Amino acid sequence: MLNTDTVMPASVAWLIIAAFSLLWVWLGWWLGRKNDTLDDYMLAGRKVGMGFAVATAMATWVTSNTTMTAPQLAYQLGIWGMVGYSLGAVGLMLFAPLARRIRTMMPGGFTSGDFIRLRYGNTTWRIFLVISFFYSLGWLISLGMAGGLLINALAGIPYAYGMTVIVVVCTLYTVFGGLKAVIGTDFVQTILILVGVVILAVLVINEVGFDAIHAQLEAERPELLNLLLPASIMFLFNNLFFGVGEIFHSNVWWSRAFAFAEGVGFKAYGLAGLFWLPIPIVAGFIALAAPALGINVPSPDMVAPLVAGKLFGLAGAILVFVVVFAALASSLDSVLAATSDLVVKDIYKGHIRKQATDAELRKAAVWIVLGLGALTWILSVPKMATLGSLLHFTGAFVASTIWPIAIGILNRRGNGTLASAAMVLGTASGLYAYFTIGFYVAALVSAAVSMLVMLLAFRSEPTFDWALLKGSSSPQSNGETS
Amino acid sequence: MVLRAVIILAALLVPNAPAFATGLTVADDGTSAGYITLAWPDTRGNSFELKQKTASGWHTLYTGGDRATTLSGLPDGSYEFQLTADGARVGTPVTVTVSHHPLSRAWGFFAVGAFMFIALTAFLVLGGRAVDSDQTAA
Repeated sequence: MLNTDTVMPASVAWLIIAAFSLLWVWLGWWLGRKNDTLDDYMLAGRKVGMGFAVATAMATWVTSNTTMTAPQLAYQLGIWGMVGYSLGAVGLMLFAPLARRIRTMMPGGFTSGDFIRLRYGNTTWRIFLVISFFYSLGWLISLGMAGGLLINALAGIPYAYGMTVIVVVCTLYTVFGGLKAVIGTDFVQTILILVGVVILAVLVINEVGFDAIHAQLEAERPELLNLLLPASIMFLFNNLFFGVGEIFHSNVWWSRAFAFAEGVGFKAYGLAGLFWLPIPIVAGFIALAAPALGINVPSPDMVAPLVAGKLFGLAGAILVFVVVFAALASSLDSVLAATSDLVVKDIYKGHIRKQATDAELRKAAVWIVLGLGALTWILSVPKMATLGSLLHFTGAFVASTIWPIAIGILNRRGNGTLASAAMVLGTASGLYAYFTIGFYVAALVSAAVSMLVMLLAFRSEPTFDWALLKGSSSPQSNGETS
Repeated sequence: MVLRAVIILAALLVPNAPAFATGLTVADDGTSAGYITLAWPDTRGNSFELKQKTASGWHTLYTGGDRATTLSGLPDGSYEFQLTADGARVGTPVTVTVSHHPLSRAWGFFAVGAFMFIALTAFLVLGGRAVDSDQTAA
């Protein structure tokens, strides 16, 4: 056991897990009971309104990474660690204009892979699929791990048990309800997260106070207060570009752009970014109270639940448990659903059964969600790395897609050769930076190298025909998709 | 590519899995950023004490049943740690040297990030307008 000093009896933890598991699975079944077509299952009928759109974008972006990794980075990199983490909001805001463009550019589109294939060709599409699948898997593993860590930190339940419950529950309700269930549960989970985080922040300030926290950090951990801490200065823009890379490339966000009703995407992503911005700062601040409270932190990604448990006892532990469990579930289901879409449309239909009908794809989607859930569980069993280091490793991959996607959506210049080179060279240089300098520069280096390659696109003539995007992904007259 | 990524991921995970370590090990080395995680996952015992050597002698950092601790916000310098399990010393002291990145390197990365952020924002705003007018004209 990582943590031996727990505040919540295991029986209480199991009770909460059981209650919320039943709630999410029931909601998933109830929301998904009228899913008839592939469009319904994968894209919630393409008519999600503003309230649900803002909630799902925000809840999906408030992940266990926000509630557990933001405190980890505050604990490791100090003030700029949590501020840098909050710059992840920029990704949502910058995606807002792209979401509007995506919806009008590809009215019948399903996945981000659709766009890459049509815009840049098959080779780039396959490179992109590897990057995207690898990233999604990393995100899923981090969510499974966070569930296990959270439950272990608060209740002492072995990591493997907690992780298993989280993965199984989220897989079940995603299977039942598809994207409609994911978005519906996101709405409830957003309310829980927002209320819980605000209560926690107020409690921390009242119980410990700024002065005590500052005095202890100054004496024991002076570099956490240093605004010129070199690693955290390097981290600031790295996290921004990691977030931009995650959102620009991932089918989690593209599937929502396709699912939102016309005219909703721009405002929904902009508002979600604004609402999300302060959450990592509030969550991260909690970690800075750890030294003042004399808490031992066995693994930095456990710091938030440890502080809350120590400060507020059973009530605080329950509050954190509910908030992080909601955050975890809201993201795990979204990544499962979006990754399943990508596998169904781009790998299964694109490479294995090109003649598959929508009904066959609908069935395949269920099995693929189950398979992804099982794969996530297998890879989460050994707690392989800290959440922060695992996540930022994937940053080297996703940041390489920023410029190929931005230029591909907004400019007729650039071709598959350049986009492929940008992704491969960007990823390779990002990984090199990860291992030789640190996790806090991997995404930045990857994005910078990718940008240099894509700049060559502006030496060529604008030749791409936008109609290729609109025509090739439209639904056919029989209701099936090409 | 997939195989390569898996190999890299495996390489990444190795330092975090000190499965056969019997004494004090550095489980997460962030010495160029001022943090380290010290762990003793397979050391026999129920109660552990982790001490750090200071100018005035050995100072206790942690006492209890946990098997790891994370220290952060450390300034440049050498730090020496000793673990005891159920009152008996475990192995020899471990020395860790913290050496932060030079500020010039940090500002270099900051400048690249700031430039790229401005360039991306400008491209999204101006590119969006251009593509709108392009399509209107078409």
